[in-house]
Amino acid sequence: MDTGSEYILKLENITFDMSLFMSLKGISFSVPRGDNIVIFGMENSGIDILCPVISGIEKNYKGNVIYNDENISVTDPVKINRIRRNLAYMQLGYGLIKNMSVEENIALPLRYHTKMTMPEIEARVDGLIEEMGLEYCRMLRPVNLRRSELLKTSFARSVVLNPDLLLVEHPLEGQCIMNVLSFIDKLVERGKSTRLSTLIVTYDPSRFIDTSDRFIMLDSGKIVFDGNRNELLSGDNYMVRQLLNTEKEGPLQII
Amino acid sequence: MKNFFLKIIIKQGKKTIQTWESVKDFLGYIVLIVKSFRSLKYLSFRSLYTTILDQTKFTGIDAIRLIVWAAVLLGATVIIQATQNFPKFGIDAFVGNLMILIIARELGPLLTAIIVISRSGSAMASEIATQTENKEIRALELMGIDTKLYIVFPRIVASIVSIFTLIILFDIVAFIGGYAVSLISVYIPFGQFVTSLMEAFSFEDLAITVLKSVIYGILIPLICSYYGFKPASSFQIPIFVSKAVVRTLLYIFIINALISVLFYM
Repeated sequence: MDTGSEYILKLENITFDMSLFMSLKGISFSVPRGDNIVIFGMENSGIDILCPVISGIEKNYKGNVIYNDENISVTDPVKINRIRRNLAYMQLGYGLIKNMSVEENIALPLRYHTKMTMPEIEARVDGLIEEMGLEYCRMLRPVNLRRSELLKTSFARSVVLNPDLLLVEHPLEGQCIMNVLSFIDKLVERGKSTRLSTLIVTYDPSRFIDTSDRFIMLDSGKIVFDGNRNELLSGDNYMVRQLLNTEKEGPLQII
Repeated sequence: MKNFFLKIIIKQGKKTIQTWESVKDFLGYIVLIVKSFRSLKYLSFRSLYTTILDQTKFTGIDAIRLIVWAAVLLGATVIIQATQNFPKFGIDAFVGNLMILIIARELGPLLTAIIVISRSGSAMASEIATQTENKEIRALELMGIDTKLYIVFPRIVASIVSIFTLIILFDIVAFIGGYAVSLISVYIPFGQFVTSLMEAFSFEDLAITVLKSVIYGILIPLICSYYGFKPASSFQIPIFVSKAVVRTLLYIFIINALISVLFYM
């Protein structure tokens, strides 16, 4: 759904104060098309509420979420569901449907949203299963999968409709370090080949230093850092330094 | 004394407000489901087929054995009681009427609904509750899938089809099976039994059976899924599943009585 606009997503003065532990205080930033942005911070920084707000799952906020030049803060539920075809969301814990196999999970958005024929759906799913290296477990249900397979299945399901924006929520929690590398490679490859913009929310930005274009840090619901890789690594922001070096002492409040 | 009455009034007031809030919440849920029909034009129906087929199999086909047993035993009990006691009052020709009155009109639909609630209603509520707890419902929403349409609508279709079929099956088995079992203790000529049934049966009975199937078929998945979506944590799942079964049973008894009052009084 490319509208020709330079930005795929704009957040304008987003304020959320409905939770004791998560708040956003006037957050504003834009995501250029095709960019890979990492949002990071501490557990109580507000990063965890950002994706629910952008996707419209969380509605109790003030401000505007502009996706493809459309203000989705005021859009009705049917339209939001149409928008979510192109605005994919890989949620924390992966959210796979437990009574469906790997291939059924990946095919679900195609079966629901498109008029593709069954052979066309099978071909698309086969392609993704091959790309993710999931051939050997395609008939297994989530309960029989390992964490890396859950991650890849969830990723495949998120991108099966060729979205233009992918929100990724803590993708690397509990993952083996080597599998993390392979997943990040797949994420980057797909971003390049389909001009997919990604917004990754994580507690550990160091995993994405080599692959992401921009890093935004939140603390107490406010943006405290917004810059590229070089600025992240060589800047003098004490909060960024404390988090990257995992130091106990510093301006960040450890719970 | 004054304080005592004041406390009772406050307590009753709070209960009334709570009940009103629950009714409002349930009505809001129904409005959401009705609104979700707007999404029908965007979705591909094949994504619902599998659920409709699975639910029809579970609610309908898998319940056949239980329905047959219940129908045979109930039919036999009613026939044995009738044939033993009707002659005392000189009304032994009315066995067919009794079967239609008791089984086809009331017990058949009611027992079928009770069996469907206890088998499928509880399963439905616990399945949806577990999916809610596992964030699967949220995952569906995030994929742009209208969960009310995708989860509730196929179950309503499957329930209507299953309940209608099961009621008809229940009635037929209760009549024939009950007759066969009752032959152990009493003898009624089969021709006389069938004639008596046919004379007592009317088109109105069939129409009311269809009406009950549709009402039960809508209400059972609607109430059970409503409570299925409620749990906010895993320890609440049994609480809401129990509520789903008990409330659905209560509403089915009320509806059954209402239909009898409206159509047979």
